[in-house]
Amino acid sequence: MATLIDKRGRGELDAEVVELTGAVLAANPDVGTCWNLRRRALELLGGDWVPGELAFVGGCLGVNPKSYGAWHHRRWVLRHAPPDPAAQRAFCARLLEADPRNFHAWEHRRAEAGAGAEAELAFTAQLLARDFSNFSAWHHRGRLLAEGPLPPERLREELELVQNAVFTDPQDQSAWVYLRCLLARATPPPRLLSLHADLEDGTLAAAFSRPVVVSPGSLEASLDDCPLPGPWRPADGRPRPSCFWLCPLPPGLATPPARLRVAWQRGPAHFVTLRPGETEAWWQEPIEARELIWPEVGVSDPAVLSELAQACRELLELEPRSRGCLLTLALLLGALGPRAHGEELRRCLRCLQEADPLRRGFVADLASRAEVALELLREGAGLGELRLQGKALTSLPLLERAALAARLELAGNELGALPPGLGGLRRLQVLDVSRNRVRSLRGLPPLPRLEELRLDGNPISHASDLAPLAACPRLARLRLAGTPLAAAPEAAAQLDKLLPHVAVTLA
Amino acid sequence: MADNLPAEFDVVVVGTGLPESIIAAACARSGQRVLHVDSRNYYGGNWASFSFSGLLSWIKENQEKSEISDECEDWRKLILENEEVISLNKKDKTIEHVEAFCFGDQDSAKDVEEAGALPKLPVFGASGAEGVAQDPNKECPPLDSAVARAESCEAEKAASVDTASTVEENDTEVNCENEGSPSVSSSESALDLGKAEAAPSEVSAQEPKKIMYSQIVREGRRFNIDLVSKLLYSRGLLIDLLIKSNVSRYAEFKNATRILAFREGKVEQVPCSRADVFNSRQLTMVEKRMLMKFLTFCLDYEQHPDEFQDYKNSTFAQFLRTRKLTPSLQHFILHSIAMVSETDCSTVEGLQATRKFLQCLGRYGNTPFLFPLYGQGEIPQCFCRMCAVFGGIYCLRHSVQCLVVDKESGRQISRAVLITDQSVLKTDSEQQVSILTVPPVDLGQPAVCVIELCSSTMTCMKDTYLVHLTCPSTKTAREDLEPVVQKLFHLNTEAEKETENEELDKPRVLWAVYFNMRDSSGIDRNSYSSLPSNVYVCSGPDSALGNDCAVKQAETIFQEMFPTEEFCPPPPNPEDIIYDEDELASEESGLSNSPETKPEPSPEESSSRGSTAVNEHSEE
Repeated sequence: MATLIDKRGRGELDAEVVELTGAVLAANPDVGTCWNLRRRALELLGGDWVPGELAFVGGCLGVNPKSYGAWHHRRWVLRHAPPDPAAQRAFCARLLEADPRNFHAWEHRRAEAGAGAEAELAFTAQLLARDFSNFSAWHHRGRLLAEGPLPPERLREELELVQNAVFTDPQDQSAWVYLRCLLARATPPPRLLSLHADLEDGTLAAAFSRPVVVSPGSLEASLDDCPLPGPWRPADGRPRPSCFWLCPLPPGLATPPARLRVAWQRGPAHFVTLRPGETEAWWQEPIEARELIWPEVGVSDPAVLSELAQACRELLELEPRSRGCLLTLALLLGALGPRAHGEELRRCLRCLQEADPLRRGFVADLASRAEVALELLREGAGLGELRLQGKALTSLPLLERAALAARLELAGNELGALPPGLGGLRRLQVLDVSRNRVRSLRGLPPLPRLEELRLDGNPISHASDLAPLAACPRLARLRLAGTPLAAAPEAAAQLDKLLPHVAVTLA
Repeated sequence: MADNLPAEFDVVVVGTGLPESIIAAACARSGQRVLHVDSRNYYGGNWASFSFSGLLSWIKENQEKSEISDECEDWRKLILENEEVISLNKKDKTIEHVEAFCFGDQDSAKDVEEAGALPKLPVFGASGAEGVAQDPNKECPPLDSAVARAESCEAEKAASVDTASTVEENDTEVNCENEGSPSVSSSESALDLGKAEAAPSEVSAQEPKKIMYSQIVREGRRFNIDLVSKLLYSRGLLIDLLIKSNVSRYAEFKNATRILAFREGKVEQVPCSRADVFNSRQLTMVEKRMLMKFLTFCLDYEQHPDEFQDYKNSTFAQFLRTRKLTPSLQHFILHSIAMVSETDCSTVEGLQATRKFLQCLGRYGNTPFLFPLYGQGEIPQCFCRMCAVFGGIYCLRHSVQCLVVDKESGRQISRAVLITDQSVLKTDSEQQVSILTVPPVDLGQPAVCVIELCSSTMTCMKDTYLVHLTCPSTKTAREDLEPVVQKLFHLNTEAEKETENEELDKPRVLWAVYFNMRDSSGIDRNSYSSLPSNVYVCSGPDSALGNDCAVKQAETIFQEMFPTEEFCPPPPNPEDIIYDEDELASEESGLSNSPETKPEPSPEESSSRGSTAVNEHSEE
């Protein structure tokens, strides 16, 4: 090795380097330096070193079949040789024979040695028949199936295969993951959900079904056929994809009616008309129940989903604590429509929380999503109000579907912070977050219409934690009873300084 | 040669069955001077495997039960005054009711000789054997075998010494296989088995070849047929012993490939491993879960006593009925996995049996069983070889002239050996080793264990299958087993009458032999009267599927004989052995006066397997 380093220092990349690196790598194929030197030397040497090099790297993979360096080198060598997928396939098959879960071999097979899709499917089926606890094989299979909805016949075959696996061993997660991948075939493209024009702060707000980045040209907005110059900025104030985007309205828009037209990526246009005497106007798409919990599954046939849900129920009768099954059933119920299956969905998630303590947070977030979805779909849920008191929420998803809410009741949950997405709720007037676990409001974007904020019983200790509230122009009432801050002697003075126009209740 | 043999031994082992051979190996390994004798001219006793002609001679011998003439009383002169003689029964009465059937035109085989066989061999022992049944002997049956530990025991007669050479013999047989298939002469081709002309439509493309009796006879030396039908549990005592003692290097094994069940008149494959359950097409999803759930429970049933406590006093079959298992799953578990009786196996016994089966899964393959290539008879020979490597001396065809009488045991095993032309359950692969348990028609009767071996196990010729049927006897072997044979197979003699299609699916029986073998495994040593304290008794094969009984017995006897010695420790690596002068000298004076009969005294030679000059052991 020392000789090698010396030679590298002197820039001597000759046959001896190849020989020396060969000796080192044959014993330990994970010395990246040697692979690099070897490649440089080989390139300089020229000649037909491809067959010898393939044999050499094959030997190294015999020493460590999962050596990243050796696999990388093999790919590099192959770039210097005419493609021979059959030979590569045989090579991968040999390594997979020894270890069917060697993800390098699977990756290599995918990249260099793909046979026809059907042949590859047969190959994975053969390895799965040996042992189906094989994420790599399932994954390879998933990659072979074209994007988008599967032909019904194929879907049926795949579902049968994977159901065989989950019924044989429900503890094995690889099959459950594949089952969910089979269903979640396509993510619906982002689209506009709602628009809100507000003359008071001169802002046009757009809510999207998924976080997007609005670049010039992707979102066309015009006012009475005159394009809005923008710029668009995310409502949560962070430079990353967001569901909420804001655009300033031209100043001096004092003469309604005015008609705003907005279209996302040349999709259908949506209109908002500001009428005389009104300071705001909005448009909102009706809520799509199937999209709330598992939007990716939307393309699957509901009949197939109900059949699968039924199979899951059967399995749960035998294995009430199978976490893969509980999760899959919960998602299926969500995809089939949370309202019709509300109670079963809640029961399912409660069981999952007990059965899978290691993923408690994940499950709690999923349960939060389900609760918000159920509230959004509640019969008679007014446009402006979401009542989510005491639902054990740990997060606040689906805000983009409630962009026009004026009142948000979140008392008695387990929220640790207020999500920046709240900044997209341009009409929010009353926000009750009493008895949660909020420590600080740092990062909360300005809420233009917020009048009342209740933070009673949250672990807020410092007045500075409330600083973002100073940017809320209409805030008039703030409740802080039962917070550590309220007990502090200097609290009143500090708050008065921070929020001079707000009536703060400390007890 | 006899003059050169040592006259003194520490241990004399009589009989070369499995427990005797293990004891002989263990004794030799621990440094005892061992003489291992067998009155027969082959190894293994009732554990033996035969070439086809060997089996025919064995059948003939056991049907005739001819008195072994031994008028030569010379040996009596050698008895010293202070010595006493216990006579041994010379008649082997452990085999009864031997009935052999050939379903082909065996006259056609009259002129066929077994390839490579010695010309003098009585090849056609089976001719005219049909229906000949031996009267059951009511006399006291003889002792199967005995192990004697003597201070100084004289080896009276020794004309030739055979070493454990069969491994080599088998090697040569394998080589023979490639020498081209035997050509069927025109005179023979008209003599098809199964009377093909009776139903030409039967002979479809899927039935490529007719196997003729003459072919079986001619190729008889290429395969070995077992007298006992056993499999090795892959976590059983025998496998452990083979590995520990390194005897395993003398044998090769093949995994049993599938477990079958016979239900509602049909043969089905039993899914027993996780992969089987996953791949099974016959189980519904819910059944898959039920089965897996139950099997998983069985693996650690002791951790969940509440699950079976209430059923401790009921039978396993009753317990299964309470476990939400469908009838087919209950059948699979009871008969094919636990392989226990429906009527008198308790819940805990059933759970134990199931667990044993499951624990053996996956060690060597997808089923819990291994089968030794060239037949079960290899195993005793492997241990004999081990014994010989450590200085044991072998004398076949030498009966010991002493008599020890055992009590009437009454227990017998019914056996049938069939040669068939197809598998009972055809799949893509012809090379299957299958085990099938056929439950009794009447409750309380024993189930019949069927083991079907393919030609790659070296137990039958290409395109045939060797089928063993075994059950504890209630009547003669034929009476016990023929109903099962008729259920599973198509007997050729009826070929002309039967025209229904379903009959055509069944494999045809080409040849069959039935016999009863005595099961002395349950006999207590105390039931032998006036047995000297240094004589230990081994039993013959039992009816169980595994070999645990024999291994346990061998170990127990060895521990009684040599309480301080380790049982079959791994032999030293030949490269690690350092000989010092004394050892070499003593060894030479001990038993190697005659170089050509020297039975591989140093372990060094054992590594060069088959290269030593050993006498070939063959039927004479």
